Amino acid sequence: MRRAKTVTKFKIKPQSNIDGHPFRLLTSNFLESKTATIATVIMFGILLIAFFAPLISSQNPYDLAQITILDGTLAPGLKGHQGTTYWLGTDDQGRDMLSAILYGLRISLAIGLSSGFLALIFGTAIGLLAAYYGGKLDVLVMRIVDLQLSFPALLIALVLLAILGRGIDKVIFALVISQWAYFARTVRGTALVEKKKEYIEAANCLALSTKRIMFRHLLPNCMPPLIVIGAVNVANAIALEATLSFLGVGLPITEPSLGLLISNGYEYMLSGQYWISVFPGIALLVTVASINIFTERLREVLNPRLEK
Amino acid sequence: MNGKVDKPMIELCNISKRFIKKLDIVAKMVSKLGFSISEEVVHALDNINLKVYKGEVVGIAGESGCGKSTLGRIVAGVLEPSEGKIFYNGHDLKSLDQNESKRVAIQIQMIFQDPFSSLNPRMKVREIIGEAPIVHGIIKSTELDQYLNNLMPICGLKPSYKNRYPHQFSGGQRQRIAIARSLAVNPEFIVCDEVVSALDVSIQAQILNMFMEHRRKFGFASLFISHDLSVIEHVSDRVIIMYLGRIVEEATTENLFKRPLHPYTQALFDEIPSFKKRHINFSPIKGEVPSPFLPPSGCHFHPRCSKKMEICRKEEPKTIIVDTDRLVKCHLF
Amino acid sequence: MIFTDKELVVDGLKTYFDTRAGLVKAVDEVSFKLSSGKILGLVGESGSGKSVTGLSVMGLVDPPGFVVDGKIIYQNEDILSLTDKELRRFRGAHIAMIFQDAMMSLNPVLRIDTQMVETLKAHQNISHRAALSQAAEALTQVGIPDPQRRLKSYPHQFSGGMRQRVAIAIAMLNDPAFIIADEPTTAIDVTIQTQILYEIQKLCSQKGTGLLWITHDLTVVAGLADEVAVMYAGKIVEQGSVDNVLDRPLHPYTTGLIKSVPAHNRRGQPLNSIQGMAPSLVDLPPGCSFRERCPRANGLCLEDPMFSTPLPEHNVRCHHPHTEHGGVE
Repeated sequence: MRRAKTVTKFKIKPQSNIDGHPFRLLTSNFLESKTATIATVIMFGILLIAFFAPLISSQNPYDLAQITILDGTLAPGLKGHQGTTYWLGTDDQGRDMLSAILYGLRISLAIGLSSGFLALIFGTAIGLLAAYYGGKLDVLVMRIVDLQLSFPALLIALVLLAILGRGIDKVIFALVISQWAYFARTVRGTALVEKKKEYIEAANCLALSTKRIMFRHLLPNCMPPLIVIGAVNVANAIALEATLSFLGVGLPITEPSLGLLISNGYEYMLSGQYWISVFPGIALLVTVASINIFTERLREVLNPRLEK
Repeated sequence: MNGKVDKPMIELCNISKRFIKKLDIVAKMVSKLGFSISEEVVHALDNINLKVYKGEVVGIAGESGCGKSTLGRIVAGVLEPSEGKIFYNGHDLKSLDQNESKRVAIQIQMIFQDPFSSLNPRMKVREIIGEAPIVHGIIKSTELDQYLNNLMPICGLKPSYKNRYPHQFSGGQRQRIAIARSLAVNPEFIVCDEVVSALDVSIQAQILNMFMEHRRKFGFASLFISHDLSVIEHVSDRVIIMYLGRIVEEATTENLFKRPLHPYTQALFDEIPSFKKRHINFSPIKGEVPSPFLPPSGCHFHPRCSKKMEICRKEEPKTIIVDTDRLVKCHLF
Repeated sequence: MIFTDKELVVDGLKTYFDTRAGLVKAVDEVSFKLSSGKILGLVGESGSGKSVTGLSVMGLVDPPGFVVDGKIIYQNEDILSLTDKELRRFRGAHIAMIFQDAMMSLNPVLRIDTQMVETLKAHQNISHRAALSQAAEALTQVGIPDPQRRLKSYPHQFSGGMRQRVAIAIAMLNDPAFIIADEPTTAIDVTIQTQILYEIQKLCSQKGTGLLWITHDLTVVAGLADEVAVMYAGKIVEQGSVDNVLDRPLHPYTTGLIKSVPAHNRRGQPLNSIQGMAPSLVDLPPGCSFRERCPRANGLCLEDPMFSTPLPEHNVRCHHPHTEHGGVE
């Protein structure tokens, strides 16, 4: 128990807006953490930069016409042959690291977001059906999920890519397959809890169709944990893809993501030309970290939901 | 008020409901190996016969575990009975085709106990109330606003509440929204499952008044489930007392409260704290409420009955018609 | 040990909550006295502040709630000025609490005997064996059959009513002088409620324990309590002996509450009800909080009423108390 030191501790705050869409309440809660706000800003900043990469960067590092090997392995800050300053240095082919990172981010994020999104849709659909229909379908699906989750995602992705070969679509496919199980399990759990609640019974009573109940009543109430898991998975997918590319099984060299950049520059680390690996590495780190901090805060804010 | 027409609106014949806790794979294997593990069965309802006539309010009273909520859910179509038939205006519900089934389902509505979980937290009030009427073609979506403007004030809600979310309302208001949701489809029968139990006394009075007003206005019949006997006495025409899945007594409200016949009903009435009695020496019924997994043999109430006889332990009592509109399930009669 | 002359005096208690939505004056200047062997019923509806009052006395109010003012005097000490360590000694040994949900008193992963022995050893210097036998004795006293076997059970193996009785047994273990019961029988059936009331009544009369019974159910208070205090929007609006308050209510809220009980109305007729809803504690109207729902309100009520004593030992906080009538209906 605390005794207030003085009564004047309590200023009468202006009545805040608790009416209105739950979303607004959520946003104001979320922004109360300074760390999370900064991380979110960084995250959205990265997204924007990645989206506008072709417009921002000084060169397209994969257009062979724009690079010259004469500018190879220049340290950060040095000027190149034609007088352009390479702020983050160049790699062995003469590619501007900054541009390469921007393009690499673009690809990494694109893959992360799209595979995360597809895994979400696929996993949610399966989890929802398993929860709603129950019985043998539920048992079957959940055993497959358990099986899948007992293997490390990296292993599954490696095996799939070994079979399928390289290519951006195959990478996305592999990532989706290694990720959908988390969604399915989470959705099933939440759906089972929500299914028992009386508003679902009421919907049954009102003779609404199964499809309607599943999508209009059950699904929206299973969303909160999904959003969190979705965001976590995007970060995971990005890291996973980077790992695959680093190992050389992910994207082809023509579409290098951050992982490939790091891998390329690995051999140059020992000779002191750290920038070819380290800067993409930092970019990857900052991206994944900001997404993770964002989702942590989101989880905090969504979990003790003020129902009453 | 007893609007007895030829056919009862709702009739339940020999309805039983068992909840079985099935053995999972491990338990099945273990039992095959010779260990005796049996499925756990709860006999929630045991051979229930019930009639509700047009416009009647039948109150169902009893304590937790007596099966009244299960009964309500079976009537409302939310649960399927394990055995027995349900008739609606004389038609066996199982014999109806899909379209007719749906039409009947809309006619029988239910209002639940917990105002906090019976509304979809992510739907606006206008969607909660308006969804079913639009889906079932009772109104067109363009007519929704007008429809709500008429319906909501009848339920004590301001039409401006249309665009709000459930979490912005108090318990009593949410219950009003739930009531509006049921009334929106013009039902002929409403099952009320402890609808005022979670509300404060002053709000309870408002909601009960509203219920009685609606009943007068719209003429629906109702199954009113509650553990609060004074509430049941106030709103019902006829009352049914349940104990551990069986109906033990049935009578018009006046007769039942003037002269309860079954020992359980009598004990129940004795136990209600009355306002006038001060500094009571509480004297509870002896014994514990039996577990629904292991109901006592014969008459379920016999271990706690002050008037028990030898036969009560051995045989289930038959339902005896004591008078017009009076039934008792007891060996004393 | 039988208590005869212990007193717990709550004087001017104020507990406020500093929430995002504003300042909530959950308990706004509440005063009452608990005495040995006597039962005080604290009656109010949701939002009246009755539960927070109980929690404040026990020192269980956590941020964003703070006890802002007032004194709670027991044995010449102000409990509110105790340190956390001293408070822990006081809590459980001198005053215990029972909650609406028995699981708030019981740890679901520990056996009953473990929990009871733990409670005993925290406040007394006794051996394990002696503690176990006291625990078994306590279970018998609350009417639980076969206590030796029951001690080895987990909370989930009891029914709701029995769990509540176990919670009462735990509360009584260290012979507290006072017990605060916060709606312990609200979620329980009538027959089980009667059993619990019987046990509590027996314990209070045998041991002289003083009881604060917090509830919204007037009928239980009628049968159980010696004195009644009615709370509305954080304040006590009426206080007196149970006969006085229930037979000759002074405050319009009390009158409204009594009249809206179904048993006091004719069958089939609309129930007398109090119009409107309880005000939000963040946004209280100026003056008397009941003003907007009161059939007797007028301009005077724009000023917050003070306590007056129109009848002997019967206080009311109202500008227009019902001093004229001789009872309800």
